[in-house]
Amino acid sequence: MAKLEAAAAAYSKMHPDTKITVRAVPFGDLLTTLRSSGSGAHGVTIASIYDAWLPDLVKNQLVAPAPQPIAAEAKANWPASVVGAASVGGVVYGVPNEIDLYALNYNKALFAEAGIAAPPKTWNEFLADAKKLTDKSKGRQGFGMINSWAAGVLHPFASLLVSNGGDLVVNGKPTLDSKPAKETFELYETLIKSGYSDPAMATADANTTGPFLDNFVSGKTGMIIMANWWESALKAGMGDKFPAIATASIPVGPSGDKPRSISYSWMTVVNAKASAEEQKEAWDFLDWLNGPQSGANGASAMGDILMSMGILPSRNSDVSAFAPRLASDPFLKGYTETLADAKGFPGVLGGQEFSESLQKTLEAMQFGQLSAEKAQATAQADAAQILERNAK
Amino acid sequence: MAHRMNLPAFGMLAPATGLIAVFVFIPMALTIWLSLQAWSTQTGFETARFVGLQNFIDIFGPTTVGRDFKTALINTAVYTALSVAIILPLSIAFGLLVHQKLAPGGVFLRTVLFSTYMVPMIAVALVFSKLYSPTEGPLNQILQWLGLPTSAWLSSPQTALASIVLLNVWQQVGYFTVLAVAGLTQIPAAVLEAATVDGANPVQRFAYITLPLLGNTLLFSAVIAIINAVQVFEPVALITQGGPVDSTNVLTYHIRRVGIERAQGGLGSAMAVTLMLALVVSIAALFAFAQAREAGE
Repeated sequence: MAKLEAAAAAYSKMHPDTKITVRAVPFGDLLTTLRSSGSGAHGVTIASIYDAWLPDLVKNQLVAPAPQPIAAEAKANWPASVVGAASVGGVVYGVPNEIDLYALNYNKALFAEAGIAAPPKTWNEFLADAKKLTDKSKGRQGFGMINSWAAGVLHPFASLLVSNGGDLVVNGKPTLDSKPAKETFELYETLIKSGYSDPAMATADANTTGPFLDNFVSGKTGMIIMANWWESALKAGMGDKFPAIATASIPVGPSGDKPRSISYSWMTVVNAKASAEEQKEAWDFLDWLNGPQSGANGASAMGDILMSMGILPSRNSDVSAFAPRLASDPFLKGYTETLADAKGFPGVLGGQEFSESLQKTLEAMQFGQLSAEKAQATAQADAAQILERNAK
Repeated sequence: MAHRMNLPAFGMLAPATGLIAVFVFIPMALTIWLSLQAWSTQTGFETARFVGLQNFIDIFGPTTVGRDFKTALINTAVYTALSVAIILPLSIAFGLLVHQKLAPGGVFLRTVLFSTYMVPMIAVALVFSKLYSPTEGPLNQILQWLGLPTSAWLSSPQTALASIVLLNVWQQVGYFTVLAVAGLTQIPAAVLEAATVDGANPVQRFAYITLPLLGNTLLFSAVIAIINAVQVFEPVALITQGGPVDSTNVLTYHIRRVGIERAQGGLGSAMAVTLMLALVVSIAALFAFAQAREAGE
């Protein structure tokens, strides 16, 4: 926040007619805030959004298409998959900034205590390690799942699914009835039924607080699957014990070929209902903020802001500028290794509703209300219904 | 003549009724109209398309829309019933405790009880989310010290809603205790003294004099408690986000999710109208019950 305000102040100094104020909104309230107070002519001019929301926001005409020079700049300087996530129907709507993906986070001290030499590479090793790490007498679970937070529930599951050769959605249709999906549901069921994951230790919220975080930082959870931006929450929670945490690629399932992860990106968009003058000023500011002139050593000011929080920038020149730092950060290594093979979270109409529906089904399985077979059938049927209704 | 006499009355009532019409009846009428439309909250009213009762059919149907709504409706009903069933007897018990003059400290106790009502919900939510933590929370640690079984509190679909009810009871009981005390002060001491002289014991005095004479207070408390409970939103939004497995997904939170987050204004309005009707029916039933009881006496 302070770094973004400093960048805005620096820009305003160069452009005295442009006034920029920064407002932070918790992630859990962001979409609602954008839809309720941020979408009118007097709402915020620029908003930072999660790519899965873009199709719905475009459908509702809340975000403006990027002017041709900005769109060309994005296409020339960002990976095609990231520009694709910032586009709908081939039209670029946002300036991408961060990219997030998932990796296995594990506690090295607990691994050593359990006699495990290296992080698991396959699901069989993953289950074997989860078994060794579980010690109910010490209130310890092998693998920590998440509940009560849609993305927190869905993304680790989706990462295991893509690492098993599956997908959530292909060409706008859910593919949760596939063999890789069946195996992923069964993996979750095994973790729960064997007691390697305890759902009572899994509650979290969109601000990462709650028992899920508490149990991992206090050494009661051996492994979790979480995103790279989580680093700052871990550092804050663990203090000088943070070096005990290491990262590794998502274990590969029986139907998978290599470690993969789900990825998603964030972008800054401009309010379609803002005046033409405000929109122009907004795009000019975003062009500067995300351009190679605003930071040090060829990096953008945005790249610098992201790196200060342990978040991966997505602009090619930022990745080059921060390459030595990214390579030397042991926590981020587990993420950067998988980046090239990450699969973008599907951008579909009704994406949020789809996520919340699958969240509920996975939670029902966590708490023993649904078998793997029933959960898979429910997830596929509900997803098909939601995506079909929202596509109309 | 009558016409001329009514004119000043209408003139004097107009500002108040006008404000009520603008801020209460028009939004209500608009919500009812929107409940019959397919409409995105992100577009103007001119884009609304009449769909008749389809939104109501959908929210009570077998699809995800219907299942989620019915879960939220049941959760709200359970939350309301539990809250009222716990708060009212407890407020009477606390009211009797702080109203009696046999032991000192009644006023102090009244202040302490009422103070919970003044604590902002954000603070209550933050504290309770930590108190309820299954592994790190002090509540389970205390239960362990006492050799009692621990609970998953907010982390289990079996106990999460009840945990939110407890939080609500803790915060609201002081307010209802004050209402109960106000009712108790209205009971003439002479009636209770006469009963004592006639040989009635404390339990008989409570059952046959105090409780019946608290009827109006209890009715008012029940109406307020029901309205408060049906409107529960903050603890769910701040602590559980409706989870786990939708076990704390109450109607206000669900309507916000559907109507604002997903921009499905027609469906959200149909849910809001259903909630309003359920509330009106509940309150009307309560008044009818009270009237029938009064007529029976």
